[in-house]
Amino acid sequence: MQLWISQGEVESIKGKFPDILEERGDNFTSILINKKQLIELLTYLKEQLNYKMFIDFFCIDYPLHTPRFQGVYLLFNPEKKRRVAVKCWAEDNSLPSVINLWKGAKWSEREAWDMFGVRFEGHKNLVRMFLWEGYQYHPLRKDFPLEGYKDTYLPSLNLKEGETPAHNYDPYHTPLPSMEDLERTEKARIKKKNQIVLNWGPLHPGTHGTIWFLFDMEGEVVQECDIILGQLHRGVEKIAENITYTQFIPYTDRMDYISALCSQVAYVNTVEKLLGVEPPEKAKWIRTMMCELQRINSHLLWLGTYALDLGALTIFLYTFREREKIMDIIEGIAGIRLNSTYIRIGGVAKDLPEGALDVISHFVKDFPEKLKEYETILTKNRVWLKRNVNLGVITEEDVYSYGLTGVVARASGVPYDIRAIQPTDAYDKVDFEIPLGKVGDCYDRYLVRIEEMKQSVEIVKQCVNKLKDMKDDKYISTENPYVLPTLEEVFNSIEAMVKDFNLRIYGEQAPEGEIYLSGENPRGELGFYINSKGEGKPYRLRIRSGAFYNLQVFTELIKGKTVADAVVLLGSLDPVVGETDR
Amino acid sequence: MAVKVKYVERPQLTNRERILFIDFIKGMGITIKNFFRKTITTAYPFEKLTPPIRFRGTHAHRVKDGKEPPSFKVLERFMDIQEGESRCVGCYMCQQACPVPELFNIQTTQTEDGKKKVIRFDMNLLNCMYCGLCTEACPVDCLIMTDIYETASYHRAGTVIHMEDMTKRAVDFDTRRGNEPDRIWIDDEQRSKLWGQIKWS
Amino acid sequence: MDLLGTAIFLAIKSLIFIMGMFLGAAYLTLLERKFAGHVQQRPGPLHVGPHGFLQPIADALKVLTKEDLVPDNVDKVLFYLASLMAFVPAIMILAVVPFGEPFTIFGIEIQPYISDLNVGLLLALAFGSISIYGVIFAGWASNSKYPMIGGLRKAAVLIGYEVALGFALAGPIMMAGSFSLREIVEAQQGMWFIIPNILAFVVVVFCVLAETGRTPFDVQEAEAELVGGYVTEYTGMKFGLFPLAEWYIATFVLSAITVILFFGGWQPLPLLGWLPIPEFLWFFIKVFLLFMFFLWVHWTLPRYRVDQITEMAWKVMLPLALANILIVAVWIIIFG
Repeated sequence: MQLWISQGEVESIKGKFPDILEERGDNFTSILINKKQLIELLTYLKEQLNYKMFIDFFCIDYPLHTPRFQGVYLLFNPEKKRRVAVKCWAEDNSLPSVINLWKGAKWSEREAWDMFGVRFEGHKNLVRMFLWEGYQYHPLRKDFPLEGYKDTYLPSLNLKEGETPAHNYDPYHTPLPSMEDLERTEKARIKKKNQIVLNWGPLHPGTHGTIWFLFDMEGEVVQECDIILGQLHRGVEKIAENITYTQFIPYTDRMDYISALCSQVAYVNTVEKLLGVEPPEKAKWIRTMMCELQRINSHLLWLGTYALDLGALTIFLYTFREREKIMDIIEGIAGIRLNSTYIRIGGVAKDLPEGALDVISHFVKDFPEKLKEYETILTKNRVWLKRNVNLGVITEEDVYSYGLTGVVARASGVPYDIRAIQPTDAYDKVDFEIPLGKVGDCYDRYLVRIEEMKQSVEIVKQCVNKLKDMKDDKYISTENPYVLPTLEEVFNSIEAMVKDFNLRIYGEQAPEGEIYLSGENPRGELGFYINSKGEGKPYRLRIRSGAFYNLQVFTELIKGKTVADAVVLLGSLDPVVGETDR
Repeated sequence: MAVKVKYVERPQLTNRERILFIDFIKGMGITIKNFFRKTITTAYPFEKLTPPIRFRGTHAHRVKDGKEPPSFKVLERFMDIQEGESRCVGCYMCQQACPVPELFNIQTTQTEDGKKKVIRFDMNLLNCMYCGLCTEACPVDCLIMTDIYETASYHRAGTVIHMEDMTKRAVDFDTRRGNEPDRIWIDDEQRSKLWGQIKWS
Repeated sequence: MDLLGTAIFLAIKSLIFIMGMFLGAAYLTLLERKFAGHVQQRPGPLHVGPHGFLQPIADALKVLTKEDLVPDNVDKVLFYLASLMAFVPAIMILAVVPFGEPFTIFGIEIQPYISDLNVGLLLALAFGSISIYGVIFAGWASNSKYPMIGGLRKAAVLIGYEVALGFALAGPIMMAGSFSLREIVEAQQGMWFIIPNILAFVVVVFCVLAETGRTPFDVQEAEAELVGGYVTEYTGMKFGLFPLAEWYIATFVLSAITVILFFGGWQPLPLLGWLPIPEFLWFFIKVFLLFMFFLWVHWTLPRYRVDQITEMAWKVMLPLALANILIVAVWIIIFG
């Protein structure tokens, strides 16, 4: 199912902007425009053609082309359910900023500046997004080496005299920020105007990971807020450009480590679409089932920590009890609890083991009762109501402007669910409802997540029923030339061994082209843009992280609220730092 | 399938519930109900769960013991491998498949009769993601992942595993769990604490 | 000579009370941990001694032998004083809490209380108020932002609830016609004061939760917001004294006062008077039940925001306490 802009609309744009160049591919449709008319075109798209939802902005580096960098804007029309990509070359290494059109562009433009060194005219505070002020390089440029510039001498702390180090031990390290650098970074983000600046994080129990919040406070009321991200920045997009498509699967786990399977499925679906691989029916159902289990898992972790932040200590343990069961299921099927690396291009890594469906049936039978317990404690509790109701109201306008997705969008009444808009795997065959909120406050986000868990249980039930009849079906379509053979095939056939060797060494030689495809992560839309130049590795892989965009609205919501509200707001947005930082 | 949309209900606290603290009492009812449930925890180091057979723990090398797959028989001719030694044929496929290839340190040499021998196979587990891609790439069923997860060490060098301990680990793993079926897990006392009785089909 | 004897006798008795309270508080931690554990379907401390019975001793040793860090730039005097200011008033309330009627063993009359002051309740309230200083000192002296906010939050909460608590206690005092805790208990022979004073009891429960910093009022060290609140910079025994004073000794002592005021102190539970249980044991059973109730609340509910707490103190609790005084006054007029 394709979601790209229709031919007719492109023609109507051409009537207004004769200079545009349309690139229509199987999986991607873009409009190339010159820098002068960019803002005009984007305004036209937003206001006339209703492409009002901001999905993503990113840059691509073409070192041999002048101008070198190309910016890509992804927009979405929520009424017609169509996407469009607008490309523009960054002449003189700069592009006009679109923060006046979409507030959500603020961080992605900063990220582009950080990673590529592209400047944005009109951006209010163009500072680095992930790295610190004073860092000299722009790491996603093609001429930046993968291992970085190792110029800092950093002997290992636990290396004693006369001890043999691990074999790939290196006393030189890539640059590290000094205390002065960090101070400079902080000063660049926020200017103290009120009583105190509270450093909330990076290591703080309330921040759910390593996010560094700066609160400029008057008493306990936050007047200004800014966020320093990047403590968990690992340059996943850079890594992806240097390894094969299969090798990147473990890295997708480690972005959103709480819903690893969902990230894997989103990524593998994108690559499969690019390669033209069709997974077998059974694999699709397994994926859907595992995704939904992972969604319950992720929402349970969210509910537990959210309640913990609000002081209800015991719920945390109750949710972890159920989560542990899902972990056990995932461990038994995939081998590892958290970062499972279970999905493969063309199917799944291993078939379901015997007894797996029994265990899952047992879980889904048991779970709704436990969910009811959580609701009894929380939903109507007066303290819970007092802390949640009418706090952090997000309007529909904000959703489009900030590019909010997932639960945050749905709680505000926007039915934006990738599972329904662009169903992958078996989502078009299962029956489920999309819960929506009416107010858009923290309480709605809580109710929507609870309802989503109930829906997920229903989906898992349907998957289990379907999979019971598919016991001996194939779980990976190894007949496809792009799909790695299974171990049994390698052991018994020399052709499979040669195919395996070829794919491992040279990677999947994807056809030239571009693709953007997304999956519905528990944290929002997780999109993958892959630009392939016909090699075994992606030329550019951009990850559109739901948590990254959802977190952006926090600085707006917290204004005029207290620190105690900060935990509620942050918890209800539910970012995972692994995914925001990548 | 048509998209079905459902607006969530926002429950209100009635005055009767507010005055009589019904919300608190119901919640406290749940906690006290749980108070009388059995504990579900496993007192690790004293009690241990048996990991499932698919668990991806520390790596090991299967040895030449007569149970090799056919692919090994083909490659064996070029190799100098004695009975009881690691099956590794030095094809470097594990390293190729690995997302972090630097963690491998594999060296092979040529013996006097022109055969190939693997003299070194080190893995630095500090860099390992335990993704299992290397075991899927091994064409001779040599490199496997065992159910051993206690890998802590006092210094970095201690986390590097070598061929000798890997072969020992595989022998140990196969004698312990070699005959197990491909089952999600085997019921043990610890697991049933959390799960209760599961109806196996 | 008489005076000296009384002084020695009182000193020994106080020492016994203090030691008992210390040990009791230590085992209250175990009680709480076990209770919390089982509520959360885990066993709680298990390995030190049989079923973790020696865990408090191990904890005390650990806390005592920990390195005692004092951060740079703290106000040293206040920093040290704060933990004492929090701890000592809490334990001083014990001076006026009676645990039973005087009884005679081997011909010696033993009074299971240190002193039977005729203004006992006032003194207890006064000591309770002093502990605010400990909190504010800790917050101020730490020279750090989180303790500062935590200390101010706690001070705001305490001031609001001290007022409500004071008015709520007026009801039983009016009925008994005395400030002496012993006489209040004696006045409850026929009927416990809970019956006309039910509003006051609700207020007192909320006040105890707020004063001792248990959920839904544990804003001062809401760890998701303020890391450790005003104890963030404290280590070792200096740190240990805060939760010990607040969560255990204060909760215990305030539970004891609540039992004395509303549940007839050491009088047996209704219909169970025939049981061969000594008076002071009845008292402890009641205190224990009330203490468990507070734990139960603590391990169930989420927490309020600080402004909501103070709002509730002034807008709900204070009017309720005043209404209670009116009800009790009418009650006294009608029933005498």
